[in-house]
Amino acid sequence: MKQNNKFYALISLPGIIYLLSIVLFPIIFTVYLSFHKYNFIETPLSNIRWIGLGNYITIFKDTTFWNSALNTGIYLVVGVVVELAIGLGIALLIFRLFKNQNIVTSLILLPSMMAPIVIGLVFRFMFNPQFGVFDFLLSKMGIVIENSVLGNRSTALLGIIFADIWQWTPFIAIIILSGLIALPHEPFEAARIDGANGFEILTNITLPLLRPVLTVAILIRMADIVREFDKIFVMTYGGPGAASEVLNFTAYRINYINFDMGVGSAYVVVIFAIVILLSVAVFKTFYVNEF
Amino acid sequence: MKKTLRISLLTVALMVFLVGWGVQAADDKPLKGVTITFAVQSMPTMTKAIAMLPQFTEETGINVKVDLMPYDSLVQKITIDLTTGTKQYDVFWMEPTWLGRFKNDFEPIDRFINDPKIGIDLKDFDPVFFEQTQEYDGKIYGLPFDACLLLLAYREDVYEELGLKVPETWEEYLENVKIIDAKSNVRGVSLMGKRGQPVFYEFLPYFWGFGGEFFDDNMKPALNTPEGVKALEYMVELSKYAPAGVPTFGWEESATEFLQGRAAHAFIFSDWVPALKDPASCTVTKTWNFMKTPKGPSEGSPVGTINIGINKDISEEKKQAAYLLLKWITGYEVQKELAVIGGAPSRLSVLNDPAFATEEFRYFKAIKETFPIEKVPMKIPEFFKLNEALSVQLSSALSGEKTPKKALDDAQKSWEEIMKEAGY
Amino acid sequence: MDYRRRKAIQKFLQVSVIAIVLLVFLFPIIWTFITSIKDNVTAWSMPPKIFFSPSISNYVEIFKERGLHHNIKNSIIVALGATAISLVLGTPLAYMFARTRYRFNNFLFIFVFASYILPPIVLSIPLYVAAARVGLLNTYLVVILAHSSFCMAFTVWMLRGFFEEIPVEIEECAMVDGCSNLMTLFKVTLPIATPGLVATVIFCIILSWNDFMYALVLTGMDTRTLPVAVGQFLTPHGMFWGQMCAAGVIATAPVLVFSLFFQRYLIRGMTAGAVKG
Repeated sequence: MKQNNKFYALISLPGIIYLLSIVLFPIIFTVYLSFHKYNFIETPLSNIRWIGLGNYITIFKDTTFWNSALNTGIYLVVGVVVELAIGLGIALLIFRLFKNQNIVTSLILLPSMMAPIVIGLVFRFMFNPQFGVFDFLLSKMGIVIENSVLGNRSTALLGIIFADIWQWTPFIAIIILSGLIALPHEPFEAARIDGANGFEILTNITLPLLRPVLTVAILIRMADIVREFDKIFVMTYGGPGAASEVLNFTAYRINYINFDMGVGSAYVVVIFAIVILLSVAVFKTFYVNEF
Repeated sequence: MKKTLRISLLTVALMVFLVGWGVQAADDKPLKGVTITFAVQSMPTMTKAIAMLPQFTEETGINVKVDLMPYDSLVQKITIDLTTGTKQYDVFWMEPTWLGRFKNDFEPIDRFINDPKIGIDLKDFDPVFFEQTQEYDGKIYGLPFDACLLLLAYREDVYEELGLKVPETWEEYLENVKIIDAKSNVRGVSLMGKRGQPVFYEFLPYFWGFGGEFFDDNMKPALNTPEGVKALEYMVELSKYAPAGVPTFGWEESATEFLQGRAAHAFIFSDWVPALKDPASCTVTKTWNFMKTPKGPSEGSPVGTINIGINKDISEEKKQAAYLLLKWITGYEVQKELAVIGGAPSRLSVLNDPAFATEEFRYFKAIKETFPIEKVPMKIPEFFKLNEALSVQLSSALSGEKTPKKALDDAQKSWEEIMKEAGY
Repeated sequence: MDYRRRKAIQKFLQVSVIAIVLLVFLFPIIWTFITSIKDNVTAWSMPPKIFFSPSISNYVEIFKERGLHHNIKNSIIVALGATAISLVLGTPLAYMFARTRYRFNNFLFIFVFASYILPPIVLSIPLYVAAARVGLLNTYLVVILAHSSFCMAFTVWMLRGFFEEIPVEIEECAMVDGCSNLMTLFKVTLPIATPGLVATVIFCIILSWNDFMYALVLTGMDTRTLPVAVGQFLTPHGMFWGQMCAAGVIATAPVLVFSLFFQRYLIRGMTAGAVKG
């Protein structure tokens, strides 16, 4: 056993060193900066001033933060719930029909594999009020949105979430499908003998058994949504006003446009903390198996 | 006799040639072999200028390594590069609004310009334009590669059809917009309403035209003045005569409305001229023109001029080489070539060149007329923050979330905070 | 008879629903493709023209004038490099996570997770400065290093799941037969985990292939990758929807190929760890 320890240590050491050196240093540096007053352009790094929690206080006092946090929250809840619901439906349908993966599953997966920047640009094009196909279809259905979808403060964020749902629902569906395929048969047969109907089977057996899979799906989506940037950057730039501005976009703006890297780093730390806290919360709530 | 003459002539020619060659080798190419790195955005005129670089290398012996990149990439890289002093780039693209932010990183070039041997004549530029775009604290930091003016494009055919006169004031302009919107099958105007730089630049001509100024004499922000509010109300009013979706229009969308013949007016940066001339992307190639920006009680028109600047942290030899590149690329020869493919030259000698007195270059008139009212929005280092803070509010006003007054009140508040923090 | 008919109708309905779902999710991609073979003026007309004469001029332009093949080459080099580093360094780490229950594993795993969710801004500026100091700026290596940060996290996360599925008994048998730990890993475990390795490679390639934020700051003219080049078609100086769509199609093509031919591995990879816990 002792020899084993040495073996594992030896083989994993290069990886650990590499990982820590490429990730640990920037993280520590970011945390360090978040306690300082530091503007990338104006202050040389040697001249930065310790201000304790000053940057964090600035953030929490700022209405921009709360607006962005609210938008992030809406994005999270709507995005995850809709993606899970539709994804589950699609997965059940495919499972019912084909019992396994086939050409349908590989085609449907395509949106999730595309480059986010391409998706953002394509959706910006399709949402264009003049020559975009979405607004054209909406107007054909008799729905007129003032200033168009992305230009209206009540619908801009929804437009982005729509693109997100399009991009990630297939991914969720396929994860759930694989979960379904891997489920044991016995509980279902027993339930059928007991005369349970389809809905009862779904809520009492399928969903509880899928819990680990669903957890992973939620986890991945949450981490990605909190870090969402590309689509917003291309589609609305946070506008109109700040109607579609989310936390990560605010962080980008402060870091890269204002170059207030003290406050910006504090933003990054806050976002990081949110992702970790949410992950732990989801884990504790849904995940029963040992990790 | 004849033979002697011929021989002596030949000798003279040979001598002239040899001497000339010798002089050139000794004096004209003192920087032979120096290599400089040049960071610029890829755009049609720049690509063309890059293609002409071998000429420059032949003349001076200086090698130029070019890094062409997209705009976002360029801004971030130059900022990081200058700030961290990594000296990756010797010569680069810069905009007048950057002058304050990077004043310690750019090399002032007055001494080269005043040098009798390699200097240039500044009389070839409009003085207001030059002062606004190239100078900071009385020093010259660059030369204009492209004037890049924000010009008001309009449809000559629509004007003719409805018997309209090119407006001189914002009042007349609004009237024309209304008439066109009501009487023709194109919308009156298109606006850049997207948050970020677009809506900011769209606002400037109205703001200045109605007599607004960003700061009072004590550098205190002055956004929510009656003039400012009137300007924003005017812009919101204009947007009623624009195609739907103004708050989503970046430069691209707004210009496209005009290019596609769906709007009769639009503010378009002059570097869109190549697109305006290209039938593959523009349906009104023959009937558009620029006008001089209308005025109100006051006037002003923003520039985005593309300058070329020099890194302060490089060797003297490289600085000289960089200056020569600057001089060449902004010089008459190159600029004339670029004007042909749609560049907006800032040299008066090019603008007044008889070769361009044709229908195709009808828009040169508006360029020349606009120079004296050109303004750089601001050159202080806080520009980026202020711009961002204002653009959010402008976009709110356009989308109807806030009244113009409320939007500017809020913008004023955030500007005051930013300026206080910056220590003004 | 009645029952059978009902079954048939049900089946028909289900198939139609699947077909509609498929159409909905493929629609933007199909639309992109259609736009890519229109010229700008046709692309901008509303209502959309269904009948038009397709042209490949956008494709010709992005290769001939924009030199997109250079970007493709760069993207391939970067993706392969990042994948290689991630695989070589990440596989043993994943193996360690799967086979041991050290106390610091959890702590370490947070770092793996952290490197996956790391905002690019945190890493790109230090990397830029460091690279400039040692003269590596605008080389493939810088981008490869940046991409390897999230690729490696993914490798560890995914392969851990695959290794956990391999029974320890198989390895113990090999060791009883006199194999050393290392030999067991190479001769027994890795061959069994081949599907996992294939899936990991594909995922790493796709992740690196799609990255925009790191590449924006860390690539130079000679190393610019495809996503940055795609962003280039929308500029303050002109808008080239047709070319942008054509480039988007090119950027999506390899992903399509992967999902058609390697979908078995892909889906296994995505759900490794998820399904088995």
